[in-house]
Amino acid sequence: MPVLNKKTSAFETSIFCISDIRDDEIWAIGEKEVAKPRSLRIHGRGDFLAQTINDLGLTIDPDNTPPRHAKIIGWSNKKSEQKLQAQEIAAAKTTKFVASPQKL
Amino acid sequence: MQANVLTLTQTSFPIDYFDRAWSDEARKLRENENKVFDHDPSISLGERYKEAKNALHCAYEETLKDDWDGYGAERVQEASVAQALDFLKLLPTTVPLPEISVDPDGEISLTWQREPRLVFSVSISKDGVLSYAGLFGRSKTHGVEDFIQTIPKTITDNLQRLYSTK
Repeated sequence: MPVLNKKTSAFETSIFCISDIRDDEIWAIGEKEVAKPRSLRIHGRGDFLAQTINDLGLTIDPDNTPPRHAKIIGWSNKKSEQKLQAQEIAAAKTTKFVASPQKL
Repeated sequence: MQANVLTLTQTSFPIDYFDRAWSDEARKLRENENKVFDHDPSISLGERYKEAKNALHCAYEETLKDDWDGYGAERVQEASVAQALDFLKLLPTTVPLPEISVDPDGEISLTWQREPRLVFSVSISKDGVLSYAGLFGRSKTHGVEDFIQTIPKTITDNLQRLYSTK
């Protein structure tokens, strides 16, 4: 589900572009840019194609801060529609979920 | 371009860890937790309901503070937890227990999934507003219902559809 950005009053989801990089490099991005700054642990990740986002009428807005970072924007303001959009992303044939190689 | 979302979870300590700490904040959290999860102690609990309550308790513990996901998520709404407990009590026994999680806005989310495109989910607000969405193969649905003493027919119909679809 997206998170409300209180500054912009828009819903968004933080993502990273992982084109052309290895699996260990992806996890390294997660550790450096996501887990460590928040003192949290990553249990897994979801990989999907940009086309899946576009097909749902959403937009990927790259800001490269940090490198490879982008946001999914254009979410509906209605929660039930957001849930449906999120289900569609998860259900896309090209979407896959990967468990963290770290032991919990 | 392939993009991905990294999901997080928060490392959580057992609640008695906070008891031993004896801080004012920890004591208040414990008091609130007791109010939410023991709000109807007179009812005799079946094993199924106990299982659901335990799962809800786990979700509750991991989302007690604002920004529990590191992306600005709001803390779990205790009134939403209470509404979810009432909802789960009324869930027909023919329906499996859902996966329980907390949305970034603090609402409790209940999800039933058989396959990627056979899924139905309901989020419950502190005021009993049910936001639901589902995929049934090529079909899809979403909407809002009020939870007032009984589970709305729209919700039970969608659950029945989910588990009768081959």
